[in-house]
Amino acid sequence: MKKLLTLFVAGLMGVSLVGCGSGDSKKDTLVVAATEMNGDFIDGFGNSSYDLEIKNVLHNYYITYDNDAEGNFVTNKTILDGEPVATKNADGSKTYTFKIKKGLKWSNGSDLTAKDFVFNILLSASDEWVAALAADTMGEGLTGYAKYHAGLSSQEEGGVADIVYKRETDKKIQKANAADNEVKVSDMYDKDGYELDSEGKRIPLLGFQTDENGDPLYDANGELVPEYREKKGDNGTFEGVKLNGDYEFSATIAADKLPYFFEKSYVAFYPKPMTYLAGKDAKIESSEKGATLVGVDLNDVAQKTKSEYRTNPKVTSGPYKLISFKNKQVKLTKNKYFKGDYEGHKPSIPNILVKTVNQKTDMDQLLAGEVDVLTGVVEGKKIEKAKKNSSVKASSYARNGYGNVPIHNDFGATKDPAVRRALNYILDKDNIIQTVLGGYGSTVYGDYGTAQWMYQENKEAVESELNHYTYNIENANKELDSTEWKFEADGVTPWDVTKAEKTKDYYRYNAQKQPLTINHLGTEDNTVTDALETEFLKNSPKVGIKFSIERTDFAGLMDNYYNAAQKPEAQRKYNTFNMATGFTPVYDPWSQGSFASIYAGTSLNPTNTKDAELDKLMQEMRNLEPDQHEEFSKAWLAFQKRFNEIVPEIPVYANEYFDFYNADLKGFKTGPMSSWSEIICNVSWAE
Amino acid sequence: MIKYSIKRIFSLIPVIFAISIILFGLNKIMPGDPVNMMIPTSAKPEQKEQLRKEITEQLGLDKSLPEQYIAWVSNVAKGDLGYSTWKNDDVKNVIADPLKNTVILNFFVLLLALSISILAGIRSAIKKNSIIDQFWQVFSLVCMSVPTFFIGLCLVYIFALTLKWLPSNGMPADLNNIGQWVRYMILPVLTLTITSLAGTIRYVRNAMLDALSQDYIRTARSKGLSEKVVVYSHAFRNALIPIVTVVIAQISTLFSGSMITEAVFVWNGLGQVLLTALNRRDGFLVIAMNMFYAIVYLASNFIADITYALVDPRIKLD
Repeated sequence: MKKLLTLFVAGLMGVSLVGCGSGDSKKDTLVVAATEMNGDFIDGFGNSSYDLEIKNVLHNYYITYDNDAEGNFVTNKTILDGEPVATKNADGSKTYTFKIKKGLKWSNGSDLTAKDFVFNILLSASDEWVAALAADTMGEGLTGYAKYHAGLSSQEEGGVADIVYKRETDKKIQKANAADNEVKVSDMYDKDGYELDSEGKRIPLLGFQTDENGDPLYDANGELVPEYREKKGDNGTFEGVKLNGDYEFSATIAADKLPYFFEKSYVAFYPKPMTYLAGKDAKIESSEKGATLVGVDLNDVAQKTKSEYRTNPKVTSGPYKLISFKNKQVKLTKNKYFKGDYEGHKPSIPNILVKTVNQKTDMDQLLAGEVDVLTGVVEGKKIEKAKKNSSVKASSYARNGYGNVPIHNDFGATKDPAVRRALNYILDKDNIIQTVLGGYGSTVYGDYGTAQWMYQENKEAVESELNHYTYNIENANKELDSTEWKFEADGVTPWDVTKAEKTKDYYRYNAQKQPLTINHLGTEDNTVTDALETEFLKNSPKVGIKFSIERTDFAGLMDNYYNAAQKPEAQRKYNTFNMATGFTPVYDPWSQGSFASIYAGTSLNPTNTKDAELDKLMQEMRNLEPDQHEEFSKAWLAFQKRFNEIVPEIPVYANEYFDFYNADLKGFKTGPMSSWSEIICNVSWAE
Repeated sequence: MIKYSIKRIFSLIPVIFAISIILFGLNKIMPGDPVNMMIPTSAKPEQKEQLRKEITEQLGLDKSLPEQYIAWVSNVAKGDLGYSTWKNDDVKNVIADPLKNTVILNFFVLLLALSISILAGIRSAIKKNSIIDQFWQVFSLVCMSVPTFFIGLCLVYIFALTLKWLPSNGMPADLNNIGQWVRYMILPVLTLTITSLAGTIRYVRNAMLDALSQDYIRTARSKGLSEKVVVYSHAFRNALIPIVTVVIAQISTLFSGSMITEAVFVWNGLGQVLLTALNRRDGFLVIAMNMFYAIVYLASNFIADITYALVDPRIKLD
């Protein structure tokens, strides 16, 4: 009896504890589901889309030129006192002058002024920022950026010389490179791994001056002329930015960067808290030569920003401020000093909790009311389940991007555009959309998203003039018959399609008796990889392609996709991959480097596309004034046609995204260019 | 015993060194470049070269392997476990919270699993072939056959999604609220407890049956001792040695085995960190985590040896 009583009391205590811990009231807190957050809450670090949402609500609202729901640049009248003044200079550059409104404050109540904008430019564009292992910069289009960003100086300014030589310490790669060049390893590398030229001199990589052809410059003694860099403690001066007073600053876009259709992207600045990050002694000195940060070592500021501010940005300007990031949850609370988004809207929901959930149960959690917002749902089953439930509503839109099969254009059989076109023909994209997306998606035929205004304006032309590459084995074979792979195994007898219909291992060969081989790399536990495997393995024998598919983890995929061109050919294996791409309001495939020849061989052009015609069309698209809307639209169409012709990658599907939310929420209208973090000021609980 | 303990501790040192060398070597031959993982793909080519140089120097990757190992060991001796390339932070900062969360979770699992399995195992042995005994036998068999994640998802489906009594996954938003901690811990603790009960109950039962069949038990009963004294003072004490082996082994298994449960319940523990560190090629973090598991395993073996001597006075440690 005693035992029973004890057990009963213990159980009662347990129930009461459980009942007590029910958490915040629904109306106070909006719970948003996320998949993985790394804690990189400032620009320059990380690539998690969930971290990006947090960055947005913390930092990116006080931006001089914001984007509306359609992706157009709009002046942020909440923070700017009048329209920025754009002045064309005699040398072809253009100066934008910004007047900041008085009364703006950081989340800790301190004043937010023009110096905070200039400070962020000086920090994010500096070589010290690079040394802190940050990637993204600000101020890229401004005069003097290259010098400031590289930390260059001159001997007169007290700069120091620092030449970096080409080096490879991995013995395996040394061997492979030497084999590629048909030389001995000892002839190609010295004992420390430095690469040698034909005269036995170390090959310089960075830190030297070049002549007009871009070749290393040597002095009369045959010595390399070094570039001089800022000495330690010297913060450098950024020519293109000036602080004109407490509430005014200016930025000058370099002449060689103009004209540029997305010109405003060069002068879309947001601030960082200078006093908080650099200390009270830090000041900005500004003159005709430009702006410089004094009173503090920029290197220390960059390191502090990276080590402390990055994961715990306590002083911010956005509608919400960070309370904590612990145990895969981010707690945010309203910033009472926030003046509003570019339209003056302020947030009404007091708190936001962004929590990591299990993707297998995320929809069930939404329907059970454990989370209020679940975004980016693409699986057909989940969408159907949610649609049947009246406790949630959906904001759906065409994804601003697409799932694709990127192709290494410089490797193996896929060097030939005809082979790439053939691969496009044997992929039944409609089937993939049905099986993977449950029908919630569409096909695209170029590098575009259906939400983009350029597509909307050229829809008829795109649909009628671009090749849809609808599944067609005959067309695929026609393409391959025009390549070197038109023989049987003996390298002489013409390949016969009727034999391919009868046997699975009847491959195409070239005159050197090499089979037409395509190796694909995808990720594990990925329905797209599974669908591609089904399609390619089923259809490739019909066109004589020896197709193989392997799976790896995300790190392996990234390494093989982005860094393959830096490896010797003998170490490369894969021709195709499955990835996805997304667009920002700035559609510029040249500067984003995706297909520009100058970036071939680097991770900026991972497909290693080198097409002079495509380069020309990308340049035509970007070298326009911002108001040349029609010209841009025409150039965009021409670019898409060329892209569609050479197929540097295969666009497979453009999803329809569903952002589901608690039906008690008002104003939740997300879109292809506006995620929840960008419309949060319009969202409230229904009364 | 003290002499023995000291000798054992000293003998563990070369073992730990050997494990560290193996782990360090394995990490280095793992495919994938950690430097590449740290360089954002959006970096410009010239920026990338500069970043590569900076990162390589900062992480000491430009030195030879023995130099890197010695540098790492001397840093560990100073309390510096290395730098996490994934989190851009010191390893000891990265693992602080997950370690605490895993220890908390496993502490309660161990407490619950031990209490239930010992009581249930003894009961089953005493009431052999009764309904209670058969229930626990079937229970053990089923739970051993079913994967942990399945048990977890079943509990989520019943208690979280259908009955809506408990949250599906995650951790408390308010870390100072004990009630919230209890709510969020119930399902993962239950999942791990059920998994570990399965084997332990059978072990306790069998050890007790073996002890109860011994001659000294017949002697104890014939001397007129109460059944309670016979079972707990005589049989259980003798059955403790194999039970201790299983229980101590469970400590190390729990730490490594909670990886799956942590994934199901999005519990910010060591298992999750290790998985992500492996995927991100975060070398120092992977080595630190694996060293931790190795040390836990070695420590639990050491504790098992000491416990034998405490439990069984016939065993002399020297």
